[in-house]
Amino acid sequence: MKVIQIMYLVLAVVVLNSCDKAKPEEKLPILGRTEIKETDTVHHTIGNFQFVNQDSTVVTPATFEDKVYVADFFFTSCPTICPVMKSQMMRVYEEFEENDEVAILSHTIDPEYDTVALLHDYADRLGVKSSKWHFVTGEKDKIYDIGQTSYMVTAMEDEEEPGGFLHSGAFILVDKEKRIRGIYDGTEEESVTKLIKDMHILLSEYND
Amino acid sequence: MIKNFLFIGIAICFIISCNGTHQKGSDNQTLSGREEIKLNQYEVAGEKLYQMNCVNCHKEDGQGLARLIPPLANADYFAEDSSKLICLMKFGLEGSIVVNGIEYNQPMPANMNLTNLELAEISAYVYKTFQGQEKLILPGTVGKILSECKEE
Repeated sequence: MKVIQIMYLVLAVVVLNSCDKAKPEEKLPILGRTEIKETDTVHHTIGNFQFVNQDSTVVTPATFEDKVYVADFFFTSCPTICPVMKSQMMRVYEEFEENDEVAILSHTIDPEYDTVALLHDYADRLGVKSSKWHFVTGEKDKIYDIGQTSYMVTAMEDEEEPGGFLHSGAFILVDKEKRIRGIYDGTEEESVTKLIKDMHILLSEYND
Repeated sequence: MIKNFLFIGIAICFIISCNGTHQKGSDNQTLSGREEIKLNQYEVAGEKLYQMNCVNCHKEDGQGLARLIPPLANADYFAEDSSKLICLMKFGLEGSIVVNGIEYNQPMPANMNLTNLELAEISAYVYKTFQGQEKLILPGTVGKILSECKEE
């Protein structure tokens, strides 16, 4: 008796699963606070910014027009998580190197030490093109502010931490409308694998 | 006749076993059985320490990161001179360094918390895994090396 019941259960599960396939293609969520204004839903977007990259080029939201990008926060003399983050970000860079719709934006949270020249050297040694992977510096307050309010990640000075800064190893996926579509742990290989996968999904959203 | 052969046979066996399986390090270190065991213990402990302290930058395979972080695998920098490795691990490094013909200039943080024994263990692991060398350095030797590290 019981065996037949189990079989029915299994059959039901299989049927339900196959019905799933008829769903529309997977879409990434939109993260952050949303406001409902009358009939419009207003999503959280990245605020305005003006920073300088390793080529001394000014970088603003316009730099990423018609592009999706991955943002993170680091500093060049960071002893703990940054090398891991950078080598994980290299995976993203290499995967989308030929794709002009993808860019990377790394903000330094130690602008006093990480000058444009230093960032240029750093990017050079990493072996990456500045048109694709921007290493930016700017006013410390503005960087911390955008990190915490726009990208929703932690970045602040902390004497107790090795290196002197406390910051999250998060990678933030931003779409063409400047909305956050995913937050990943840049120190975890699997998390970055998911980021790459989600990036493909996001890109296909625009190419339908 | 047979007795003679037997005698010669046994003698040969003795000769072979007495010259047996000695491991030689690069500085012609011939390790005794006990030292072999110690080296193995160091290598095992060293691996754990490497995972905790070194792998983030130098990676699991010792390849480093592009031209930012030098490799340990087949690195010429400390292949012959273990004191370079020991001093580096304890005190870190600032400024330019050339490894296998490539210039690097990224500060390496110090690891002042590592004891002489731990440095000996990591060193054993690094030499074995990334240089293919069996190199036993005892904590006492590490202490001597550290006292002579050049002040940067």
